[in-house]
Amino acid sequence: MIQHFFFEAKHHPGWLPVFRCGMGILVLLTGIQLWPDFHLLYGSDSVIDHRLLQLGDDSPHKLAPRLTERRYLALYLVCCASLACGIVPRIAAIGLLLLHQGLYIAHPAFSYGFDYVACSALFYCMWFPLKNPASQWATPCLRVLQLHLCLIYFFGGFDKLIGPTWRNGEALWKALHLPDLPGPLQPALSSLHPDPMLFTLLGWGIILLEIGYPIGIWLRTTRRIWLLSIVALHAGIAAFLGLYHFSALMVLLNACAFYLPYRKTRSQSEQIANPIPQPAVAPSRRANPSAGSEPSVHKPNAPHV
Amino acid sequence: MDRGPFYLFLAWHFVCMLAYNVSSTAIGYRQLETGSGSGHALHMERIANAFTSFLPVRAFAQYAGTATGYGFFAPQVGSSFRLEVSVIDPSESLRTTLHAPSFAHTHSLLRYQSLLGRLQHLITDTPHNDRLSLPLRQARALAHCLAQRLALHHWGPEARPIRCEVYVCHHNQRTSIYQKMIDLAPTP
Repeated sequence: MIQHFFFEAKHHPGWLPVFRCGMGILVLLTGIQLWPDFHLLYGSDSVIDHRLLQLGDDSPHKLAPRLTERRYLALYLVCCASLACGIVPRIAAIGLLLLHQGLYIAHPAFSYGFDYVACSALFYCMWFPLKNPASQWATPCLRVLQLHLCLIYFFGGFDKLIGPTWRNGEALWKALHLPDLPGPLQPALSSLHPDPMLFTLLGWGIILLEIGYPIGIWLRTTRRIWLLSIVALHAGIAAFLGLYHFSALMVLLNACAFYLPYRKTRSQSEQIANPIPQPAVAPSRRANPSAGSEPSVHKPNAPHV
Repeated sequence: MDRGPFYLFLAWHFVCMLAYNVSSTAIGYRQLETGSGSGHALHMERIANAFTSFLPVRAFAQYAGTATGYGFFAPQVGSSFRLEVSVIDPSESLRTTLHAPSFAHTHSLLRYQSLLGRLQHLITDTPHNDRLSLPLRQARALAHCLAQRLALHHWGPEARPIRCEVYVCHHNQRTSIYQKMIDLAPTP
């Protein structure tokens, strides 16, 4: 069963090019947006002395030196474009991961959730068979991504569940009114009458959606509704909190993990359109001479006809 | 196809992820719960921390981007902080005030706000017997450094003295939690 789950199940291979291209474009956009403000945040004349934040921090910094010059960001952008276009994607992913470490992860003064999840996605870009989506390693790689997402949402939901303010709706109200995260729709909230019951229900809804993700997303009957709800949640995060990059990243990962692989492959679509002719009804082929005349390579069921 | 290394990688990767998340959840739980459950949480946190303090685990998790908890906005939503830098006239009246560097893009402002989250130690860490904890001293030094560099970037060294003030903000209200006058004159 485990062997089948990780290695033998077949999925639409289209998720890998979307994953590669989507990640490349997304990190490229964040890099471009950082470009004019790079000197203020990461440059040698930054608004803070980065050494100050390293006091008492014994994490393995030496593995990734702090990058203070703009040329590293330029190199980062080149790697992003290379990954998005599929030009030497593995080398681009390795370069991106190292630069991402030096810029955002090893010295996380200005980092937030997006940087960590993006780092994991770049780490996967390094290992996944990006140039060969039909590789036998595509399914194991897909499973790693799927399980990672399940873990992200489970802990996101569980941590909210242990907080009383999420259960009574106060945390959601507070999150939607954070002055430092002003999304484009945040002003519209102040014009609404705050209904405590609504926030309580929404708070519980988010907890159940996240904590139930590892189950709901795997069941065929609930997958679509769970996926749509999660996309709606991230659209809300973008609209009310202004976390566009984070939301786009999570939507991309969800689409690559649980939407694109479950699309019907061409051969499956053809099977539905042209059901396998049964031996008992073979004479019908005479009524429709074109049926079964296609090259057998496109019809896996051809040998049975 | 040799599947052994894949299963080994999978187990290692997810155990690392679990350790960081268990630690993060336990910390969050202990902040809220002071009863008997907090003892169990402390125990779990210690086990997880012992594992994550192992250098190969830390290095791998750092490069895999998993050296973090995934409890975004949980178990409770943190406060927002705001740092104001003001130039004071010789007559001690406020001349002009600055809230943040002049960023070209709002995404950079988001990153700057993420840094300001470190100022939470100004309210969560109270001095014990006149001894200040390292996070509290760091938070004060951070506020001082930010104010000084913002003023230098924006007004140059002639703007002095300046006043640094940190506020904690909730919706439409704000409360001052730290105030300091800073002279930008170079130290002899």
